[in-house]
Amino acid sequence: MANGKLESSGGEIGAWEMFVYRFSKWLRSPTPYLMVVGFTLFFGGWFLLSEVFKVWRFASLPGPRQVLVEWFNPHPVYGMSLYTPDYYMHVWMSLRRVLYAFVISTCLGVPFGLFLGWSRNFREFTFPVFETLRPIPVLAWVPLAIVMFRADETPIIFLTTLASFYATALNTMLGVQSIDPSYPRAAACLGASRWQIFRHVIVPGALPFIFTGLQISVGVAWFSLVAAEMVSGEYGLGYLINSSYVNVQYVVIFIGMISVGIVGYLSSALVRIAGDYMMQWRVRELALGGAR
Amino acid sequence: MSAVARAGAVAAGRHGAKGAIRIDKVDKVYYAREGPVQAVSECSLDIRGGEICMIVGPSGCGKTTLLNAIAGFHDITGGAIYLDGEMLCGPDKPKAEPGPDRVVVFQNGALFPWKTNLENVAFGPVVQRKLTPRQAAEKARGMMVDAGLAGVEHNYPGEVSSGMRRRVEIVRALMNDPKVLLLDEPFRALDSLTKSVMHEALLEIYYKNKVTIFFITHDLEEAIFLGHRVAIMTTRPCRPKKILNVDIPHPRNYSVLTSPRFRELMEETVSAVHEEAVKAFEAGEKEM
Amino acid sequence: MSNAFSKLAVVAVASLAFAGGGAFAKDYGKIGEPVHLVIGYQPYYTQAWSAVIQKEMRPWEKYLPKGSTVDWQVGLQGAIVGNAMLADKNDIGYMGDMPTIVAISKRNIRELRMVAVLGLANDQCSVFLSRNEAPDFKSPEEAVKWWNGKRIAVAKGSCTDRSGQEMMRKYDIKPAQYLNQNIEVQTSNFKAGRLDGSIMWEPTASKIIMEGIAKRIGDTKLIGKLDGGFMAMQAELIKQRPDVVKGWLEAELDADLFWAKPENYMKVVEMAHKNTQGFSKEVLWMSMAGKYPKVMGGGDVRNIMYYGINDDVRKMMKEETAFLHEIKVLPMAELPADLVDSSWTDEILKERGLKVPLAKIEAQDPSQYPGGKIQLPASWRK
Repeated sequence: MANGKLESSGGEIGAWEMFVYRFSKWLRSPTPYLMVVGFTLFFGGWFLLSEVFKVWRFASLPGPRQVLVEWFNPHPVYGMSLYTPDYYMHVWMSLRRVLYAFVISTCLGVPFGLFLGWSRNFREFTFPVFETLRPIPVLAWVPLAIVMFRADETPIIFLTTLASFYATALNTMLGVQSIDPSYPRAAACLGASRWQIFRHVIVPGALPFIFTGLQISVGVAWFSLVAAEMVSGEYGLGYLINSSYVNVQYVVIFIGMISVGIVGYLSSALVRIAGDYMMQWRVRELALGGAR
Repeated sequence: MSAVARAGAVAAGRHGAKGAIRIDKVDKVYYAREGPVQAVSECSLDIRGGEICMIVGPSGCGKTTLLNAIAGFHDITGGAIYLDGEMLCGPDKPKAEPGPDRVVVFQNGALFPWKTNLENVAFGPVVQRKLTPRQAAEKARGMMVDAGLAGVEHNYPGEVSSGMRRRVEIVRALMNDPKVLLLDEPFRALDSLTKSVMHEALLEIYYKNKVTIFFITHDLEEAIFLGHRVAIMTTRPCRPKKILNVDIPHPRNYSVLTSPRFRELMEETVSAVHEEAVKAFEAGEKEM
Repeated sequence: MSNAFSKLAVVAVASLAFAGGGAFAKDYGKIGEPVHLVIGYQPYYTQAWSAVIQKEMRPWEKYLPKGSTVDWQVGLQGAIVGNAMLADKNDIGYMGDMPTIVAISKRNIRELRMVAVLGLANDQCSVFLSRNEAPDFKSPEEAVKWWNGKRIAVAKGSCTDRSGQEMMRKYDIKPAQYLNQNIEVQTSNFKAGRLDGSIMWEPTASKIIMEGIAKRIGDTKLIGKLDGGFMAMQAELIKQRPDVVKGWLEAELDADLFWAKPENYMKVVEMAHKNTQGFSKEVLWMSMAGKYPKVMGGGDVRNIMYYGINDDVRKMMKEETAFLHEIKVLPMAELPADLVDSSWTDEILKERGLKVPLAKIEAQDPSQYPGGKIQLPASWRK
């Protein structure tokens, strides 16, 4: 597979150059400015509703200014801001858990999904069980998780992995099923064995869907984290949000939420970048304005 | 010996070899929502080794079914198909094995988008372990140069024009020294200008590698221009209605299109094709 | 697309104009009219069982305007009731001391008032527990020092959190982990052998002890303070319907007086049993009136029914507020005085010629359980 190792083509473009090129193109497009406008509208609206006009129930909520003031406060009222080391501990613990969960769910989910898509027998065995377990919400697994696992972090990582696993496996399966049947046929004509077809056609062919699934799975992992961290008890953004809820520290809830949003977005972007790196053929196709 | 010359010698050496296909009273019934459909019925056709045999017929008449049967993608429900005397599929073995002796070039293109053109072309021999990756790459490079594809080895299929992609796919097929090249309306998606260029390109490639070409099309002009023989098929069930011998000598180029003999041949076959087209239309055939 | 956008903009601006510049005030109706009340109560918190008595015996029917209705919302934890009050979902709430103080302090969200005391005790809200395998110590002070370097869990934001933090400060105890877990999770963890110690409120504390899941080692005598349960109300309710407030509090006094009589203990247990799941009557009785040995941190008095708010109560709240400020739970070190409104209970007590505290619930030996024999757990020590 021609992934990272790019030889110079007619245009002498490597993966890094490609990235720089696309980024500068992005900067020159209206997109980043629309993004800024979008955020401004959102924060502006929130500000107006809760701090200026104090509309309805928004009056009881802290506005963005209050949140930002506390967040950037060297001596925060509730003990949590960018200046307190505890804050970074919370961020790091959550990030670490999401990382573990993501790696595990990917290592389990991608092969599982590939086989689900590739082998009808396997699918008929496992898919019904898979689909039955899927709708069970993370919270319902909490008591079982506590009983099943000895260590501290394991139940949380287990709970976070669950939903991610499903997103990854399903999208991978769909990716396999979405492959144009001409490709495996062509490979068969060219003398590939069933395993070679799997390796050279199915796996790379499913990659676009796999990476979509991975982006979703990172998001879902963050999503489940709040629920999972109820089991935790000490650190984590979900724990922070939960404990500020019981202590009625709404500003800290918002700090927690915004932190989750930012870190979540960054992790998703990283997955996307990794996907682009692994699927250079698509990047180039799209950068040159689509297949001619 | 250069790669080109080597390839040429191999091709020449095989000029005497076969690649003759015998389609013997083949039936194919498949089950659609409406009930069983007889796609092919008692179809018999002999294709000579090394010839370009054009299969012409209206959309949905069953031509692709025949191709799929030869390639080994589908089974047949009756009759048999032989390649150089060996049975590909028949009563005891309803489905042939796909293999590098009968390589298909697909209608919508099946170059692997995630491999570079060079890797695509080298795929067959590497995967069959006939050549090491390095040897295969060298051979591939040579064949690509031959086919006018120098310079795009390290591009991805998505980066080059559709005409080039078709050529790459054909070269990919030829890398395996196939006996038969199965082409399923390969130039259909191209605009007519590119198409005419591709015709000449295909002929050039053919002259260097004399494989049997089983070429499905519903472009009559294309059929007569390229083929040694043109088989006009009836609409479902698929069966040869008329076989035309195109006695215009090879090598051919585009000036052939305006020659009087070409016109004559067109006249001979147009009505036959038209008749089938009307039947197909009336039967409300959708494109398969 | 732009058409839809401009429509949306018009709707948004119009609704802003409509809503004007204030939060909605709930309309409780005019004085004398029937009223509909939503009560946030905790049947899983023994200190707040006066609410259960109100629910089952309905003394409020006597005092509220005819036709009034009452909705009972279970809160599994004080913080939930507190948050619900701040969200204007409850009109009256029964909570432990810490959630009450936190809730009433949030004036910018909603105006709430503390109007009555449910009770003060050493071991209604904060019962200290260690795992069964912990060594047996001669006194609660020693037993709690064992918590150094161990895994401890409390439910954050509840009275147990405050007791835990005060205790750690007083005895300079540094656990390896001080985790936030709700009491169900704590129970599972004790069973799974993954928790060394925790602090729980009754009746779950007694359940854990009597079922042998963990053993009791102390209570708030360790910090030399009492913990308490309070009643809070919406300030709007007080402003609009003084008749309802008075009526409810009259009924509350009736409930307390009923509870204060030892011959009624079992009846109260029955009512609590009806409103809880998974608790046997023995456990419920033990949580309310059972006498635990001194070496296990038990005492002679299980609950002091205060009802009214006197200087002791105010002092206790002041100390607690200061402490919560220190641990950065509260932004202020002192609560404004008007958040605690003792006028109602003062008046009612005066009318009835009663004083604060009303009564005590004395601890009774388990052998005195009227419903049969209570099986003592293995951890029981004399």
